[in-house]
Amino acid sequence: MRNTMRLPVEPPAPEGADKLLARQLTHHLKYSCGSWAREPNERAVFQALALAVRDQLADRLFEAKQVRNKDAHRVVHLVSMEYMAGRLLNNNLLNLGLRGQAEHAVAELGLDLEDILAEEPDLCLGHGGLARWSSCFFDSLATTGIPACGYGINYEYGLFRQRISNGFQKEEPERWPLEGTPWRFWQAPEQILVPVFGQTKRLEGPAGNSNVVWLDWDVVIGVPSDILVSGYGGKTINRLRLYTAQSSPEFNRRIAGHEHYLRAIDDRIASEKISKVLYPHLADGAGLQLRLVQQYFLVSCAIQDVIRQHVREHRTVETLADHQAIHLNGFQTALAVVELLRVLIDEYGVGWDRAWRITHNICTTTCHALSRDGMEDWPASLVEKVLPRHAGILRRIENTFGSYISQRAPDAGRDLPGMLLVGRGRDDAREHVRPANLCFIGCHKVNAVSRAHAEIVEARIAPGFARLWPEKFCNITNGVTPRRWIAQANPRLRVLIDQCVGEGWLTDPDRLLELETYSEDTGVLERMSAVRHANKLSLSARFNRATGVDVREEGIFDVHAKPFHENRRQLLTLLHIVDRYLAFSEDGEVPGALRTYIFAGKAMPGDKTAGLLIKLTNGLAALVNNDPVVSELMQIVFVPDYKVSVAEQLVPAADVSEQLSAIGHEACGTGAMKFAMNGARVLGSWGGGNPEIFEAAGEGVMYPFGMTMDEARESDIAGAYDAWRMLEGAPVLKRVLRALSDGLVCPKEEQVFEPLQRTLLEAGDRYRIIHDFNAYCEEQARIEADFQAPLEWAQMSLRAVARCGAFSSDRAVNEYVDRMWRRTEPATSERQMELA
Amino acid sequence: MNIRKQRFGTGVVVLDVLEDRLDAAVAEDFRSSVLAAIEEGAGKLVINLGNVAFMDSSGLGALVGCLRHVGAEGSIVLSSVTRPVERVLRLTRINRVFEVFEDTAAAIQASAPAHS
Repeated sequence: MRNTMRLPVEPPAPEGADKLLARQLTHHLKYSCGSWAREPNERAVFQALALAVRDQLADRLFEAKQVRNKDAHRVVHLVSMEYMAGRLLNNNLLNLGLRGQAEHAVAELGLDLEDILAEEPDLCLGHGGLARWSSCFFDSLATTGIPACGYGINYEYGLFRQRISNGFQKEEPERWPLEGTPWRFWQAPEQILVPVFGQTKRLEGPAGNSNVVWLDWDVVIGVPSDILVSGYGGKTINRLRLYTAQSSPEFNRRIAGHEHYLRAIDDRIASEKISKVLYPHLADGAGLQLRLVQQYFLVSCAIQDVIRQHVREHRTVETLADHQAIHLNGFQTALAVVELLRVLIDEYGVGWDRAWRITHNICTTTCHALSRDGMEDWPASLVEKVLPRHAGILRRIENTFGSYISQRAPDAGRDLPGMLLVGRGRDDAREHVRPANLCFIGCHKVNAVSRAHAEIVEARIAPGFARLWPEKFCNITNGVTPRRWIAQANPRLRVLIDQCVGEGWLTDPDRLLELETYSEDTGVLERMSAVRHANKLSLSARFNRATGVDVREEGIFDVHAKPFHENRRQLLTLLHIVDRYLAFSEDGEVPGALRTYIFAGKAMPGDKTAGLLIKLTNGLAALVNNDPVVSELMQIVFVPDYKVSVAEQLVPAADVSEQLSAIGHEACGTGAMKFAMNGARVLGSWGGGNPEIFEAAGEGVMYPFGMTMDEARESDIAGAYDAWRMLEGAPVLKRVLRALSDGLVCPKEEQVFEPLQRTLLEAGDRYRIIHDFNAYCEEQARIEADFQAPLEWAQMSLRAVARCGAFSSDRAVNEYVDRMWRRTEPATSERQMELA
Repeated sequence: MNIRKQRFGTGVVVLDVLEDRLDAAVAEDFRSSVLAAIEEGAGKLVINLGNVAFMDSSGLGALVGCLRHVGAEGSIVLSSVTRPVERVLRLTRINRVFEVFEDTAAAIQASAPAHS
């Protein structure tokens, strides 16, 4: 069943915009897409409609720019290696108030807007959380009226496409066709020259002074293309600037003749590789070099672009910190600190002290890391080879920092080894550069993404820095955009909310709290149930078409949508399913409600354990769905190729969202926020942002279980946790593991799941699955019981929507503005800046 | 390599580079021309880059390579540098090593013995 509901309320579109959109659509169909058929196909209409919307975005950007130049806000430049924006057309139509008009214009062509929207491929230039963080923030920056520019790499191949074969994940290349996308504006004249490799030499200047020069470098050209992003209401339009790496025909002209021609092509391929593939997380050798070059390529393009635009407008770099804020999304962009210093010192002749002060006042970062072990570092020899000039600047920062510590903070001496910019690597004795420490030294604010994460950052990631500069560290809990995750993904819920509290919540999500005044209103509660039921019907129809599983919508939709990884603990749910299977098939138990378990997520290529978890999920799906008795009581669906557009289908239909990450292994986890914001219950561990959701929404919305942070800390002490002994007290789990060993799932593939069992016992159950199993099952039983009281269930859903407005990315962005991106107060800055 | 040499009474020699590119294709010739001028006794050299719209790391390398051949009393200065070349000079900090003058006349005046 297709959702063709027309939204009742939209931000006001400019006068005559409806006719304008229809006119632009016709124009682009004919002149941009060359579609002269009387009944154009969906693909052509998508292209033409997106181009028409892009025209309007460009007009509004121009109008907004007149205002922006007089604005007192610092412009926020978000530098991120990853973005995961999903589809853009529907979002832009909603934000510009053009959705109803687009429906009408498309209907005139005999087509349905939903079919047109489905033509758009997801913009998927990232792996997961960090990428989605950038995109939600980018939406909120525009909606809250903050002028901003996002910088990223235009990967030709984004995240892989997932296919399932014999239950296992198969990865296929997913080419994000920027070339063909209607959204981009190529900005070739704005290209950036990025020098790389070579050597530095010390030469005497005319006044007899000694100077370091950078010679024998190669050049990569960064060619930008802009994608315009509208805030809700279309008042602020920001740019996402994605760079494509190209070799420089200018710089390669020296190579002529046949033999050299081939070398020229090699050079070209090597340069263009930089933006070819979304960088691998698990890199080594040549991969490590490519990753370092990718990171440098992005920050160099971003920094040079920020400065160029600033100088164009303000004529000097001296005022850079008054007008610009540069935010580094994770430590992958740490090199921005060094690149900014290099450009200021080398290209603009700013002295070291002043350059350091400007850099420090401009740069802030969000930490997403969870442990020092998981953080990357770069062999110092590699940095010297790839970025010889930057290596020199890094040495100077290191020396200055060392002097600062010994003169100003001798008490920090015991922390010093962990705080050094260059130190011994984790796996070898060679010297390594630590990007995290570069951020801690070079940025004036470092944010942790949840309260629990803030504790981890202070205790495990940066204990020395947190003691040295406590004012530098803060916690602003992540959020998600309610425009995409309610208004766009769940239009039925939006209608209900609008009718209850008006549409003001779209830009002021705190107003969702007003929904609580309806908590005793049976009419509203019944409509709340009806919304979810209709969403489940829509999803079931999609499943039936896509997977062939005849999904029934009357039961509990229990969704586990996350990247597959041991620490996300899909295994808890899978073991619970085996227990239920045995209970239904062998013990004759009958559940209180039908349950549909829905799994979605990708495993990192090469992660064998995660691959086996996917195999077990599909194996269980085959077992359960083909069992004539059990399939009447529960069902399992694995949705392949999880991405933003798939999440937009799952989130509105979920009754229960599983957020099971092991304590200390998820920084925040915004998935819980998206689901709860749509009225789902959260079955969650005490990790990441879950405790804050529990605090905000309370019992009944969230079902917390398992180890607490304190218990996890105690159990981490060597020898304190004994998986074998723990299993002795869990007879249900023992039975489940025995059934798996006996070949209950995939019996023809002998012992295929043995490695999973080994993670629990021989490997010591690192993620405390045995410990938490009983508590998890108890909460599942509570959920089942609660589901049987529909009015109370709807009441809790309403409360979840009302109270989770607090987890809007608008709130988070406003806090970032107040606490991180404002002009730094001199008192704070001075203390930290004495480093120089 | 198209390069013009002019000797001025003050002992200053001006080399006008008449190529639009100073890159790997001409870098070696350029280097030889400058070294020849130095060997012929040109102590104070002004290299006029007014026609050069593009310079790569080979061109820069040739320029830097000539420096060590200038005697203690000699000098090499640059004049009339175009914007793209100036950008490369700044990017690599070569502008810290060579004095750069807006035009050749100013460079000659500065290089003349009375001013040196």
